[in-house]
Amino acid sequence: MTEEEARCPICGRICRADAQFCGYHENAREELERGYKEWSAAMPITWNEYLSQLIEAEETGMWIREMIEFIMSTDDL
Amino acid sequence: MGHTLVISEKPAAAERIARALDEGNEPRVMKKGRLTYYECEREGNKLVVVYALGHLFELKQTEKGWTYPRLETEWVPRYEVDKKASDVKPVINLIKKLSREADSFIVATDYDIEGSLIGFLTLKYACNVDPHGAKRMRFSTLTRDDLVRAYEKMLPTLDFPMIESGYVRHQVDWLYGINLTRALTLAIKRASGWFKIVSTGRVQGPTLSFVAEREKEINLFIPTPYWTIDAVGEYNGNDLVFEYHKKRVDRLDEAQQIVNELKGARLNVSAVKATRSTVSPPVPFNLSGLQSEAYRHFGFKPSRTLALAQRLYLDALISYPRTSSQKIPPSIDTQSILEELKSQSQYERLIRVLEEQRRAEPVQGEKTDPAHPAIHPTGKKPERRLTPSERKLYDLIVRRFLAVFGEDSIRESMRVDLAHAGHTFHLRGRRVIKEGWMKLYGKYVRVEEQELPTLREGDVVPIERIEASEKMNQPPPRYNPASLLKQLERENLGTKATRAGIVDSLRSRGYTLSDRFELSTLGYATVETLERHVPQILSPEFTRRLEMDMEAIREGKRDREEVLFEAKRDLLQILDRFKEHEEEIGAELVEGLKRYWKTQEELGPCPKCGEGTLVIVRSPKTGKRFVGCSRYREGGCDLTFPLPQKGRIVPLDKHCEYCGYQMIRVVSGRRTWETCINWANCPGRQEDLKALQKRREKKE
Repeated sequence: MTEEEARCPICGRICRADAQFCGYHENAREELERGYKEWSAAMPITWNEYLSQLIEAEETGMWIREMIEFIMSTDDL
Repeated sequence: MGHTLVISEKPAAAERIARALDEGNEPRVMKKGRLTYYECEREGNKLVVVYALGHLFELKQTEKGWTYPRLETEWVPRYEVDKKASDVKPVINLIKKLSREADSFIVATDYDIEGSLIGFLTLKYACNVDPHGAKRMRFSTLTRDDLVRAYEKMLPTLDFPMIESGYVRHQVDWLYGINLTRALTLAIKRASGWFKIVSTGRVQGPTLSFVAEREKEINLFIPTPYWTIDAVGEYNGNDLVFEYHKKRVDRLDEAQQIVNELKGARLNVSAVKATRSTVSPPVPFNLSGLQSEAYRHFGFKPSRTLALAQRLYLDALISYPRTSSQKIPPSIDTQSILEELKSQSQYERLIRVLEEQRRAEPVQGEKTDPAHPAIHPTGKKPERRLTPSERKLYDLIVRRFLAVFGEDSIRESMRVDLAHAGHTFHLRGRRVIKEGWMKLYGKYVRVEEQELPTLREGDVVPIERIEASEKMNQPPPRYNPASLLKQLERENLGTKATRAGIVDSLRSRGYTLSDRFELSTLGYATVETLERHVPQILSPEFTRRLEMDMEAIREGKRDREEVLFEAKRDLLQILDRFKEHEEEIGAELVEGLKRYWKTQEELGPCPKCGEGTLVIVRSPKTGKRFVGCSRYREGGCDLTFPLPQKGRIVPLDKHCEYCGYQMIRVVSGRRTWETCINWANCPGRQEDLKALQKRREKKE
């Protein structure tokens, strides 16, 4: 581990090479995007509505939830 | 003339063997200090029956130093490597003494890898004789008949391929367990100066990786919505709940359209079908089948089931439990067992039922074991009062044994199809036509019956209510002790005797939280670090190959030394790689450990000062633990809460519904309870405290 290695802004783990997040949260971001396609095919829904519904659902995984909270707090991505 | 020394595995087994082999069934009970051994007379021979206490000898490194790699080992008395095993020393001395006057030796330990190895090592290192001259008793129950038969049909030599396999298993497990644990521990020491043992092993690593893989799936799970069409109709004054032909509709607009088209519709009964199916009895229990069923019905962890089964075996109530077999071979006198069971009042009625409907041969499963049959009762009446848990397990084993002789059961499934404008609904019913084996298995069968009203083709049933209900698909379930054990069995990792302990070790070493196998922060750190630097430690393929090699030794297809050489070579490669990255590995594990300890000790923000954190602390003066604020020293926040002094405290992610304070779980022995940290003043706890006070007063 070196000083230069970037840290995930969500959990503090080392970031994946050339990525903004660690492996887990990078995967969570990818899953969120994939999931939005599925939700959009199932019902008319905006990105923000999608995130709000996911954060309410108890089945939503922990890393997904953390990524949503991060997105909502930074209004990023 | 000298005597014959009979070596058994445990004190209870020694007593049973001695009673069975003595012609008068009254062996002389000999005392040597606190130890007991037995002298028997049989056909003019004097037999001296002694016991080991499991393994009397263990591996120890020959080179000095708590470091790695350490590859060379020797067998030494167990008390030399385990300070708690002081009871082993007099046992070895007694066996040594009795073996001097012995002119022949019989090994009568459990007939499996461990038992055979115990016998071999005892002969070699305690008796100082050549094990090739010893004979072997082979039995699957500790009943008199079985033991006498085993004595009369003794094997002329020990089962050396089985011993070789056990020998190399111990060596490989020692090599991997000791060296990898030291590598992890020393990496932490180098990074932080702390000496904190972080363990892993040949099977523990892959087991941890299964849990981590499942955890990732759960943590990355995104539920997706789907809709079910819930419709209720009325027929002859009764509500009927219909099942739409598509179990799930993936789009909201489609679900809404279906509802719109069917509102107020009148459904026509288009078909009424009934099909009958026969259901065979379940197969006889092997160990994992028993563990799985005991978890399902009683919530027993696999290790507990094994311990209970072992006690029942030593009481000669059931056959040897560490078996893979799902077969009851013809050599077992099942008729006698059933007759003996009939003399136990609780089974008399069931045996009578069985006599009326018994199948000629018991149902057999597919799995086999060369050493032992499936787990079955011996029919003997318990000679002591069984504990409630033992009684439950015994009953399950007896009922499964009876069920395998039962006739097939017959079930009828009914389906009524109701249609309207291209839409179809179903009504489903189920009933048991003939109970068969289910009557014998009794409360362990779960059958849900569903009666249907009498409907005929052409009947019309109006829909009273219909709606589209939104549902979410579910994440995969976390492992439980039984399902993780099954996974190890499926992956051919570990042995039937070791799997339960490995499953327990994940919890006891802090890698998982609770029995739900939720990965702890320490578990995450260990998996992440090993995955990045030495993934072989977590690889199921790697350890499965070793298992296959050990099985090949048992079958006489591979040589022990060759397998050991390869295992050492592979281990050295892993350790070299580990050494290269030791600094990074240490730093990452230290970070994980810090997070783990934090979650174990921190209880959230301090409600009094609002700046500190409530933590579990131990008083340096009294040694007692309590909850205090982290700003006690610098900020002077003196908020404290008392804690129970016994048991493990687990902070919970919830707050008390009465006072709003943080909840904790206390795990003390087998008792577990939840309370808030403010329990002494919590209004919700006052009734409990009054009741406790009353109980105390009554006692006094």
